[in-house]
Amino acid sequence: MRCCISQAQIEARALTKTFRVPKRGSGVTGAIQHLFAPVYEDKRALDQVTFDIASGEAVACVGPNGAGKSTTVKLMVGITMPTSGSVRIEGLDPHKERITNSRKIGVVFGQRSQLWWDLPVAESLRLLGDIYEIPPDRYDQTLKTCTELLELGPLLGQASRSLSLGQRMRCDIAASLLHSPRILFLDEPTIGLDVAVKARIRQFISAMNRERGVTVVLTSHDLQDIETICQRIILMDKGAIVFDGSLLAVKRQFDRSRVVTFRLREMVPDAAARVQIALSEVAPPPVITVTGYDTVVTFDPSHSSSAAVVAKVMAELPVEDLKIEEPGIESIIRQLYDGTLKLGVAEPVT
Amino acid sequence: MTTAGIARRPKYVALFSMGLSDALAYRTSAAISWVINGWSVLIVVYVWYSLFAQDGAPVAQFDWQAMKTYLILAHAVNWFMQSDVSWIVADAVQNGNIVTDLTRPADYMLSKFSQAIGGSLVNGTIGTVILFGSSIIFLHLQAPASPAAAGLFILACVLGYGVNFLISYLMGLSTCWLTNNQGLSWVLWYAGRILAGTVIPISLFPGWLQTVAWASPFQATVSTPLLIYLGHDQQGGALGLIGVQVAWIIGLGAFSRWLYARAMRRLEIQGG
Repeated sequence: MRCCISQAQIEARALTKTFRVPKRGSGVTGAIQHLFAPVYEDKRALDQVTFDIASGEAVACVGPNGAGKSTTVKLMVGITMPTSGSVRIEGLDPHKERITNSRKIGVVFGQRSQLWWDLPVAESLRLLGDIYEIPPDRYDQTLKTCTELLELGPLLGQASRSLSLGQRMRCDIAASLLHSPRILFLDEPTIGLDVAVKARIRQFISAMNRERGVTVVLTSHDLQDIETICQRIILMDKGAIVFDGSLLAVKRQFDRSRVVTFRLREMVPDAAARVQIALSEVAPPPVITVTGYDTVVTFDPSHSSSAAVVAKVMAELPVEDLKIEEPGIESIIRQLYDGTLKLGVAEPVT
Repeated sequence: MTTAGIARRPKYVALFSMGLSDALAYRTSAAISWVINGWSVLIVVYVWYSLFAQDGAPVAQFDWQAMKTYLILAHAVNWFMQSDVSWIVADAVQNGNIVTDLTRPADYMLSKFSQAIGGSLVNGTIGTVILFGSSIIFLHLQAPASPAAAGLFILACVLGYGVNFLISYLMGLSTCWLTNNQGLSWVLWYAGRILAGTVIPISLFPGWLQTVAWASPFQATVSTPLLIYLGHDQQGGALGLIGVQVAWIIGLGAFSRWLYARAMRRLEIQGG
C-alpha cells in the first residue's frame, strides 16, 4: 500500500465518518415504537482511512455500494466533516474553508446536476462564471475548449431540463471545469450513459489530466472509466482501504488465477493426466481441462510463475501454440464486489 | 457561444438575476397566483364590509376606511414578503442537491437571499403593485398618514422582507434535524400569518395573544409597515418600530449563522 507522499495535494489521515441512523421495527408497530422511544445506532461509513494524492495524479476509488467511496469524496470537497481524522486539500481544511477550497476544485456528481433546471445551459455557465469570478477572457477560452471537445455547441441554447442524460453530463463536466480547477472530483460521471458518450467523456477527462495536469479523483463502477483515466486505484470495502496502488500492482497482488491455453499439434488422448503429473509439484493443484486440441491450465501465479508452468507442459506435450491470459482487473473487482476477494499480502512468486 | 463583450456581474447580483429568470420561466403560474391572491383579498374585504355594514362603529382604532386599507395592504405586503426559501432549502437537504450549492464559492445564506429577491420580484412584487395600484384607483384606499410615513412604510416593507426571509431560511435549515420539516412549516406558516397581523390587526387580538404577537418576529413583517402607513404607531413611533425590525434582522441573522454551522456538521447526504 502507498501512503504519505511528500508534497501531497490531498492528504487524508485516519479519516473516520460515523452516521447515526434510526433503528426502527417494521410496520405500524415499529413506527409507533420509534415515535415514543426512538433507538439509534452508529453506522461507520469510513474507518481510519489514510492516503495521499499528489498533484497531477488520476486516482480511482473503487468498491461495492456502501464501501465509503462517495463519503470520501464528500469529505474531500468539504460538504461533510469527518467524525475523526482529517483531510487537507493543498493544506486547507475543506469543510472549514469551504469557499476558498471550492475555487481549487471542480466537482461532478453523476446523479446530480449543477445546471439550473429551467435556464439555457449558456446562462447557467455564465452564472457559474460570475460566481467563480472568472476573468471574461479566461472564461471564453475555457468555454471554447470545452465546447469543441465535448461538442456542446448545439446544447448551449437549450434549457437543462430538455437535455438527455448524456448531453446534460457533458454540460456538467464543462461547468465543473470553467474555473480551471486544480483538482477534479468525479462521482460516477458515466452512470447511465451510452457507449459513445462514455468514450467521449473518458477521453476528455483523460486529456485534462495528461495535458493540463488536473488531478482527477474518480469513483466509478465502470472498469473502462478506471482503466482509461486512472493510473492508480484505491480499492475500498466496508469503509476501509483494502488496496492502494497502481493498476498493474492491483493485478499482481490480487490476481490468483492465470490461464494458459496450449494448442497441440496432434490429439493426445491422455493429455490431462500427463499435464497433471508434470505439474504435480505446483501448489495449489492447477485445474486442467482438455477440449479437442486445446489443453487449458489454470493455476495460481502467486505461487508458480507462468514460465515454469509453460516449460513443464511443453516438455510433456507436442505444443504448437500457446496463449497466456493477462490478469483481468475486472475479475478482481468482481470478486471484491461479491465478497470473495482474498485480502492480505500475496506471497512471493517462486 | 462566448461572453465576449459581456461584463462579469458580482456573484450575488448574478444569483438575483438567476432567481428572476427562473421565476419568469413559470410566468403562467405567477399570473395564476396573482389572480387567486387578488380574488382572496376581495373576499376578505367583502366579509369585513358586511360586518361594518351591520354596525358602522369603529373597531379598536379602525373605521371601515382604515380597516379596508389595512386588509388590502396586509395582503399586498404579505404577498410581497412571500418566499419559498423554506421549501427550497428543505428540498435541497432532503434530496442531497445542497451539494451543488456547497461546492461553489458563495455564502449559502446570501445566495439563497439573492435568488429569493429575484423570485419575489416576479411572484410577489408585480402582484403587489397590481393589487396596490388597482385598489388605490378602484377601492379608494386611505393615503399614508404623512409623506414621511410613506417613505418609512417602504423601508419597513424592505426590512420586513428580510425578517420573513430569515424565518423561512431557519425553517428550511430545520430539515437537518427533522428530516422532514413540512409539519413545522405549515404550523409556522398559519401561525405566522395570524401573528404577523395579516388576517386581522394585532390590536384586535385578545390581550394574551397580543403579547405573544408583539414578542414574535412575525409582527415585524406585515404589521409594522401597516401601522406606520396608517399612522397607528403611537407606541414608540415609526422609528422605534423600524428599530425593532432591525433588531430582529440582527438577532435572526446571527442565529441563522450559528444554526447553519451546526446544520452543516449534521448534514448527511446519502448516495452519490
